Amino acid sequence: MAGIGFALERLYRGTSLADRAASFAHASIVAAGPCLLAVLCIWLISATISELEGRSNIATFRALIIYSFALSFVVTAPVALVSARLISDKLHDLSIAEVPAIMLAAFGFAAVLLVGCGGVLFGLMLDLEPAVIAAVMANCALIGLIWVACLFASVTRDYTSVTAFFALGLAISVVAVTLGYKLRPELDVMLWGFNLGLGATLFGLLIRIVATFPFAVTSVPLREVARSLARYWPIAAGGLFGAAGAWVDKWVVWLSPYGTQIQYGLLHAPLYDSAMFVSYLVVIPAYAAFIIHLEVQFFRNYRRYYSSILEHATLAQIHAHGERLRAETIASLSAITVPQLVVCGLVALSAPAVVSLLDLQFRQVGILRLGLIGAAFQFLFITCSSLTLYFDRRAVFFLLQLVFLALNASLTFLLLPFGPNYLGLGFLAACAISALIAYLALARTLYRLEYLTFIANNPAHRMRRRAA
Amino acid sequence: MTLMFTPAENRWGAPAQGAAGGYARRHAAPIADVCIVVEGAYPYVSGGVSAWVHGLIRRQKDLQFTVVAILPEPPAPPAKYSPLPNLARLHHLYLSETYGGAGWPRPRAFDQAEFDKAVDLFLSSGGLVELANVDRLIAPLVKARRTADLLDSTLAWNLVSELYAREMPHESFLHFFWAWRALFGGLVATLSFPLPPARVYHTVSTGYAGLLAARAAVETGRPALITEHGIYTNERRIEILQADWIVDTVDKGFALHDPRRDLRDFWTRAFESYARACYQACTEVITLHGANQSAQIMQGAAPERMRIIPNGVDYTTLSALPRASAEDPPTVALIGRVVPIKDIKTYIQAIDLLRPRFPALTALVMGPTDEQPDYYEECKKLVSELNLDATLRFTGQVDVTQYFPRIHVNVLTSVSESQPLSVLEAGAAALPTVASNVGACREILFGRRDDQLGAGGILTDVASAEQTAAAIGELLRDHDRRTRFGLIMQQRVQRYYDLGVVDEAYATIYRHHMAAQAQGVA
Repeated sequence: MAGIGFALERLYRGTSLADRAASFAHASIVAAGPCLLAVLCIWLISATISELEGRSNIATFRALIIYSFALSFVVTAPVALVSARLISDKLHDLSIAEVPAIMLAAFGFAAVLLVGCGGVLFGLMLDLEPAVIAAVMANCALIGLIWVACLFASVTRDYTSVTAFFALGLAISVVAVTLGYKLRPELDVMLWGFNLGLGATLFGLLIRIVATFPFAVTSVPLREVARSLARYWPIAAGGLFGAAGAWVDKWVVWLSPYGTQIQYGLLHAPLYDSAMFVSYLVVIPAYAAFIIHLEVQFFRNYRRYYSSILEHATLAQIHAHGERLRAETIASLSAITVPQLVVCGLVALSAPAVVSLLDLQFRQVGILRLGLIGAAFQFLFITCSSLTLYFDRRAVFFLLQLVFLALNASLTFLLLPFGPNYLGLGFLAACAISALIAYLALARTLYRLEYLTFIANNPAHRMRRRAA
Repeated sequence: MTLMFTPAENRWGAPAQGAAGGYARRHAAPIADVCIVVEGAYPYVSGGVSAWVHGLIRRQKDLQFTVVAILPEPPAPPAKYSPLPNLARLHHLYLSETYGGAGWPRPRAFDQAEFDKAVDLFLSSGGLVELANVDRLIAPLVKARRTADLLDSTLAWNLVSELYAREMPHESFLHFFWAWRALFGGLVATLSFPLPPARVYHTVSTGYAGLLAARAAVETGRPALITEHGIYTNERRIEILQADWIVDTVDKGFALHDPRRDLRDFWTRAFESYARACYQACTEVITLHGANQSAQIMQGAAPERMRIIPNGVDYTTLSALPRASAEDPPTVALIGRVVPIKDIKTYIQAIDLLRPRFPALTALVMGPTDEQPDYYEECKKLVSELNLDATLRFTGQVDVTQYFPRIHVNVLTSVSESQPLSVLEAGAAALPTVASNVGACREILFGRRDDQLGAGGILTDVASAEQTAAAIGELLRDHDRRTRFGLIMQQRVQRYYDLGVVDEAYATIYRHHMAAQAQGVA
């Protein structure tokens, strides 16, 4: 019967599921690693040249570096996360040859944003000398490009390289800044010394990425990256809010009566900043343990779950794999978070000793204690919210980051009147509440995994809805 | 006559893509006399059912038509037919759409448990009553514009997972999910599509088109008709059986009483339910030839509502054509698309067998060659291998009236047909036909029970080059027999297959139902 009927197969589209988000979600978690290493970097440089304390340039140098890190982290987060997602899609579609071009496009976007925002901050808002502006702009750009490169390296789960090159750069920076300062104690010399290490890190990461993706770049897909920014706007906005959320408590304190204005109009709050940075360093083992869990257990369960679907398992079998993924993920999170909370609690109890050991001020004990517990909750928040991205829960990720940003800003501000001993309370409360919400969101995702996989998050339906 | 309708650019005034606007269960358009419901054909495919629909609308000049074209998904392809003055509007029903959104609150009147049960019953063994029940239960969602909830919410998940647990928990869930999604999505689209107002709903198949016609009959109380060209359910069944994209997970071996069902059963039963609902809803179950009727009865059509209205051809024009004389070089022709279902290779082999006895033989293949280029290449290669290049010619799509005066015997070697127009057209031009015994060929060549005219050609087995060659040879050699067969065919076409007769039959049916409705309203 000519003309009647159409192939049922056209209505029967098979295998598109949400598993393409996997390698991208890895990137969002690994992003926390370099962030912590940055804190370590600042702390080490401060410690190494602490004997020279008293010279006015040291505090300015440290403040500028902090500004650079904050600005580059916040500005490049949307581009880095979205381009990492784009790369993840390309890997899923086996279009590997396009990766270097996308990286260059992401570098282009990040560079433009960094130069623009850095120019406004360092060139217009602060009263810096031209040589310092050039050095700090370069510093800002290098840090921003390192964030982007880190995420590209981490998409292929190349954590060793990320860590190794960051450590190498850190070492070079510490040595170069120290030597430079001894040769000529000028701010721009210190900054260029620091840039030397950052350049080495970036160079190392680029070599690793090019070795992984040895493909010629014929054109730079700026338009595709721009379209992805619009398409994955919850990820871009979530990245922006998440990065801002991590810094917003510092900005609030800097602008409060506890903030201090130093040379060139730079604001900082050494009382708060140093205690919080030390707190972050204490949770580094938790992040390391979590990444190991991702590699060893989570990813195996995750793959098993999606593979079983694509290999035509029954619903009972799919459900069993989902239950295992859910149970082991929650168990692992608990197994890492609870000991970390205990460790943070113990360090908090021995805060006076820590303060003494690290040459902090005794009045920072309270801030350190609150910061330590807060950092443990922040770890839980970051891991839970990032895990939702494994299941392509973009909107949830976005909302969680927005909540964290809003809570961290508002609670830090509202609790300022309680006095300097409670400066970290806003951060702690924001982290605890956000961690609870993120945990519930993750649990809700895991408990509705089959529904999300087949109905709510199914890319085929999403495409249909978009077309409609 | 198929070639009378010239394919045209898409010049339709109606929107070519997207939902046909609004979410009301009825379109706000003015009421049409007849709403033709057609699936995957008119006006986007040329020939066959599309040509039939176009011709029907074109010749029923006094009636206003609307057409609902059912397509899998937007956008609609370019139209192959030009708009007609009495075709008021072309609507598109896309099976991938839900004609409603998702969200909260869900209407209180919607009873999920009842709906779940009703859908299950309808898809597994339903008919018109079950369809009416599903239609009643879905109404609150349609009214509240929440039909997407049925496919994109936890409600959808509950429906599919519960149905799976009940029906085939041993089956690949991925395949079950997509099968359910396609079937149920089509059902939701069909039940929530805004119904164009019409006095009579006329579907040209069962399936989704039949489902929409049945729904129209249920909701409006107006008559629904079906003119079935081939048996849709059989075609879907064959398609499903041959589908390599359906994974077989149930190996029943030789067990006759294994109660487990697999996905093929799921698909097949759903289409059977759609057909049952359609047949039960239609006041007239029309087909082109008697061979289809047993299948329709088996699927639930009531014999008292059944009738045959064959395809018609333009007898007046074709019968006036001159005939080839005995002195002309022997010429045979196969009129049809160069596709495997027409089994052109058997025809070529038959010509090869004939040529030693008829060295001056000319054989033609008259029809489009671009539908399956690979097959066309294979046919050309076979012609070359058999050294038939000087004997056999592919003309492409041509005006057959230019060729009939040169042809002595018409040939058809198809492995499947419904009611081949080419045999009727040749018959009107007093040409005898050698045809494979498929579809309505026997009925056309030998007549129905009440037809005493006699044979108008020779039937052969399917794919038998020897029988085809022998039959053609007999007719080429025996001028008197050939002429007698041709005249009988001509008489038969005039009596039963003339366009005028066919058009009058449909005009009478439409008039009858519209008059009955007007009286009912009065």
